[in-house]
Amino acid sequence: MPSIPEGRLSVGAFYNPHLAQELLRAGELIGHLAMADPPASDDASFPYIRDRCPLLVHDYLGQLSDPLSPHALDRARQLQDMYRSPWVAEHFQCLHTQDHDRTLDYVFPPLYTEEFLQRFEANARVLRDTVGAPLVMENIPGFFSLEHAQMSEAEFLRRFFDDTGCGFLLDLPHIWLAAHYSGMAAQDYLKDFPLEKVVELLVAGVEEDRDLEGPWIAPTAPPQEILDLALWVAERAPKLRAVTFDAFSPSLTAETVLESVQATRRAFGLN
Amino acid sequence: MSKPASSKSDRDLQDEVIRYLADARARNENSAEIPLSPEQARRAEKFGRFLARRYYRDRLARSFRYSRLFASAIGRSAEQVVDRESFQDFLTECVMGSLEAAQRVGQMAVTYLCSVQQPGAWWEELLAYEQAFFVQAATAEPEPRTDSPRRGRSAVCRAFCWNLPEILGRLKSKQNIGDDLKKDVLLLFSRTAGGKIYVVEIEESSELVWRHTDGFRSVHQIAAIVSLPVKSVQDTLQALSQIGALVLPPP
Repeated sequence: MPSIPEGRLSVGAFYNPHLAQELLRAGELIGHLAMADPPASDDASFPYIRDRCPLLVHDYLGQLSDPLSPHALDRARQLQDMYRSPWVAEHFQCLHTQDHDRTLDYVFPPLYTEEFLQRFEANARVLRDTVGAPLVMENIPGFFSLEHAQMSEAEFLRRFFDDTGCGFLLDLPHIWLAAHYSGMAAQDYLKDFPLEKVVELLVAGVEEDRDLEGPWIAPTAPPQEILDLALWVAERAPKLRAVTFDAFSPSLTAETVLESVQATRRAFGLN
Repeated sequence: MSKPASSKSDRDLQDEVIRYLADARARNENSAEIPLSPEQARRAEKFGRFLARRYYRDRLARSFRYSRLFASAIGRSAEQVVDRESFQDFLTECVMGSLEAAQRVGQMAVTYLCSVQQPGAWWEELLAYEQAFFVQAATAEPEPRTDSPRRGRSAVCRAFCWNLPEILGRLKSKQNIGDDLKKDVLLLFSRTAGGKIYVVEIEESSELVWRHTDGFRSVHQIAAIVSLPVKSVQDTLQALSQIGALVLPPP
């Protein structure tokens, strides 16, 4: 199986099964593919994809605010056996209740407190040991805040990475949104984040949302502002190995994926 | 940033926030003890509506995918209902992931898609199929424990007079649908705890067992009502429980 080469930045995208043929035809343009879902049993293209392209585990393995069940850990191990990913990704999120009675079905950050930090650290170690691969963790933006936090998002993440040795999967649209809703410039918002731990960057577009009455993440091409931010981070992230266009939707077109990857490569001077 | 004194764990507080966001009625009553300033509560309300609209748009698109093949011909697709004015009322009342909300949104979609020039005589049956599928896809509530066998919360059994499984195959391969596909079929729609959705054709005897499994009757009582041997009823209950159509008491 192919792997992401050491010492060279890889630019890739998410695997969208309905675009498998176009992704295969794109050849060297797509450096890697992140897998948000396991391949369907009738996905005839997946074996060719796996033979040609390095794959990254970016599935929902479980929320690390709670201990993962034996079934979830077993599933994570099986996915890693199938993909042989250089690192396995999870999120700083807590989206369903402990009794599973309610779920938000969408990324949602935990409270930034000592208790949650301990929970995430303990459960992340178990997941990492189970899959036998490095674990990277993705930042998740909030849209509102509670008068309960004991630390900032940046401090929570820095302490987590220092304590566990995990890598940082930095989602730039998430940062851009968090900064936007905090009334800050993205570079200022990133000031205290541990950029030296960043292994992978995610780039994507943002669009106006009618309910939020403001921007939110969208499966569209990354604007120049996000690409400029990516370059700014890359200059401060010596461990960076991959940049991924983060869009996964049945409505996504091949043109959007390929143009986004090309634009990202251009921004990094790789074309 | 300091933490106010409280006996509640942070994890428990996070659960309250999740319930608050998922349940529009809780937000309306403002009964939850969540430390939100008025400004942040307004933002949380927006986020709750955003989550619900996104959730139902996604489930509608996935469930009504065969009627969507006619979107350009009829000028409509199911997920458009979440952007209609009438959906605003729903957003102020819904409990995201509840069976009641799934039934309500499914009916909105069917009503919306019925009032068009119908592509064929089978159209309303196709929509009924997709509606039953949607109810499985959009219901996320776990099954409570039970002392006697009972039907799965979202499971639906429906009789069709068109051969729906065959119609779906023809729609997928862009073939015409003729009267040769008129056939009575009995389909059971269900969802497992892990979220896997099943649509299976069942025999009338199995439907009879399923219908009489109400959470109060024992296996022997069900067997007596449907006039089948206890062993046969036990086997049917076991098979239906594996696809989430029934919940059995713990062994």
